[in-house]
Amino acid sequence: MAATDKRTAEQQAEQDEVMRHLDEEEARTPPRARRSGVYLRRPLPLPHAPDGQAQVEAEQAAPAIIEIEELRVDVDGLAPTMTISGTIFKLFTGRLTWIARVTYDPAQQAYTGPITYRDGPASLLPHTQVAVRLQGAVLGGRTARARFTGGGIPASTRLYVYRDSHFRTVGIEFDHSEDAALVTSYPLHSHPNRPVDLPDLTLTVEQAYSRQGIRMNAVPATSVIPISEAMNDALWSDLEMHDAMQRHWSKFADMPQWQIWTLFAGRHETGHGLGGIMFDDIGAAQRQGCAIFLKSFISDPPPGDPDALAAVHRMQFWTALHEIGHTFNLAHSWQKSLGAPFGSPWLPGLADEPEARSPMNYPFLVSGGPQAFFSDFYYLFSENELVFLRHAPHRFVQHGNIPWFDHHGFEQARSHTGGLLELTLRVNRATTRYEMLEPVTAELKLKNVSAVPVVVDREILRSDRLGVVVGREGREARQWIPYAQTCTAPQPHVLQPGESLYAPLFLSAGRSGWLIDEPGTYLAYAAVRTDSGDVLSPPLALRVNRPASAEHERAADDLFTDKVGRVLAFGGSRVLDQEMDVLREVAESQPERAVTRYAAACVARVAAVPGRVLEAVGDERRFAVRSPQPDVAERMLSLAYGDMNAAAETMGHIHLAQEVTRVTKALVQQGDDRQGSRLADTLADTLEQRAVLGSVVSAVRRTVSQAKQEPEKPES
Amino acid sequence: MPSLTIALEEGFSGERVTILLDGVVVFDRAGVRTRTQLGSAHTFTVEVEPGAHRVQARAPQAGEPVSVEADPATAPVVRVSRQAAGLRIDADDTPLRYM
Repeated sequence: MAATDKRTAEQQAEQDEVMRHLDEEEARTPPRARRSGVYLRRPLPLPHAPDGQAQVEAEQAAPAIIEIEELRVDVDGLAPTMTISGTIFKLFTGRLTWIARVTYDPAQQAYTGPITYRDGPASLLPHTQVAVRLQGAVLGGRTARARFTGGGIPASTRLYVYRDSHFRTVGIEFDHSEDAALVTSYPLHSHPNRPVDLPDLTLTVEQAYSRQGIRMNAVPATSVIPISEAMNDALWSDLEMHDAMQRHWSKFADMPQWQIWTLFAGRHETGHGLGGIMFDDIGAAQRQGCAIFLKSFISDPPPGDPDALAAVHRMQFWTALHEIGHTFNLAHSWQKSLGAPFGSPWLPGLADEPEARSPMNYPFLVSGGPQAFFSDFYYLFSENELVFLRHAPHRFVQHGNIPWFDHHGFEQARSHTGGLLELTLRVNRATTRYEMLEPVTAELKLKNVSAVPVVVDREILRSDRLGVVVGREGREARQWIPYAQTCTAPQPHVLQPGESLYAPLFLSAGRSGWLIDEPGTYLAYAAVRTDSGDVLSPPLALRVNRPASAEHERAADDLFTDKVGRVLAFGGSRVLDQEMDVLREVAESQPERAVTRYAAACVARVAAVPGRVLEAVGDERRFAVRSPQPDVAERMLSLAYGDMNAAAETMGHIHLAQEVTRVTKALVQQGDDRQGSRLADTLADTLEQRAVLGSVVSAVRRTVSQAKQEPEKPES
Repeated sequence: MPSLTIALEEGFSGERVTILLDGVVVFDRAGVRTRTQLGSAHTFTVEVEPGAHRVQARAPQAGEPVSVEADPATAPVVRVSRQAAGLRIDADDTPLRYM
């Protein structure tokens, strides 16, 4: 039996065993133990069966190449919405979120319902009905078996294993200004006007969200923000708060992330009537920051209240829940149906909820006012809001993703290697905003995150086992195909726990064209197929700014060509002279632009390093050596690496180190030790300051001595 | 001196809005836009003589003008919103509160 057949047989035997065990565990009624949460599809084929139908189902059930599937079950626990939803991500096809509202069917012992919502390519799940059977003990392996039917295609049965009791996980940082304090908890029984069955506990903001399925983890550190940052009037404007957010928030990043910043401050410049605001509705990455103003009406003791102090405390706490709700893209209760021109509801026909006892409603707007509101308020969102928080496509909900109020009211990637390996696609810079024309060189990192050694191919990040997709907002995602593909025999490498492999990735362009060109927002994913399974990176979000000038914009016509893409990817060319001229011209005419560092580095390398070119003389072909051009090299080296830190920002650590050491060696071997040493030292200092691995810095420092021992060798 | 606070609230998406107090224009601005996270577009205060005053709101894109009687002693807060059916205007003594 071939090894592959044997492995498949073993997998099927294992799967048979799992399914047999599940079948034996009869569910007579809806499961008693809480089983809501997130399940991940088990990457094993279903067992073969003699009848053809089951065989078809089994084949469909086998996960395709780099297909990741998540099932969200919301049928029990606190405030279940009787909703089951899922996300399917398939490399090169896209991401689908589907939602079904379900009821329990005792006959099928399953939660069943029609799939009523889809966002993404429907081809990933054309079925129209789902039936989900939950099995397994709380302490054992909880599973969900989903059978998809309808849609005019054969049914499909898929098995998912329990992953998490929460639907999302969010980080939050609470900071306060000098004239305010944090109000992040409230003893629910401290005020007598409350539901009789409200639990007697002190609820924190984190708990208020976590108990509803949105795990919220607070950052331990808290910044105290000088009131001087609100300028002389000590009143906060939205802009001042945005500045403070960037300055003090430890997690600030101008990109989508599951992170929130909450500021407790004195008063907004609008005045006493503004109790709080989700101020972050400007710029690209919105809905990350909100503020609560304690010197506003929310701190006014309600007239005649038997416990005014507790009422104020409650209103302050409620306001925090409310503003944080806005950061999740939740609209006010009376705005749920608002459509164009204010954005759009995420579900068609969403109704307003003017009487909802929700953090998103104003207590003083409901019939009977705050007295009526709080007598029936359980610190829960409305059902529609919970469906949105737990099941809506992540980009509608995630902070910094789609703009505020757009669909109001690429998912964190999951690994299929059983948690052995983690793939990261990143850029070595603080911001993911790029100037227009600035090439994007990302870095791939494959890390062994397990406690045991893992064998991988040393060249896996440069091999055809790597897949990368880049998508621009509003444009089809495209596969990145490198200009050059290495084809080498596998080089088994033992990756020790905590150890990583790295590789640079010229992401801007490839054989499929320029993938990052026009201003806009881009998302890139990478995936590798290892012997331990497929590993997918979380998305890397990038933004390309608008051109700084007409001249800057005009250069795009010359730069965004296939051949210039090749020259930039390879770091220069001795053959594509016209394209090298384009880069030289860009470098000399726009020295202040980031693209210049890249362009000049290409020209500098060709000018500084001797190289060989295959020439044809008649029928004869021979290599001719091109000599360095020191004058050109010096000028271009200055433009490329005059500011080494800026060069690192643009070129990335790995690519920069490769380029500079190559040029350094060439300079030293041509007798220019001074220039070579200066370049190597500056690079080493820069990498050190940027916290690059010490071994890399040491290798750079040895470049000059190494170059003196190596014979000069022209590049081909 | 008594005053009236006039608040443009829900439903504005860039319209021109004109507010007249006893027939005199006290506010005339294009591009009025509601910040949906507050339910507020713009607020301003005008000083008035004691007694009742007529406040009229006009937004040609929103249909017919609407007006209300407002007395700073009893109804010092005037709220104007744009709804599906057109403009709406109310006056009472409930303070402005946004979150």
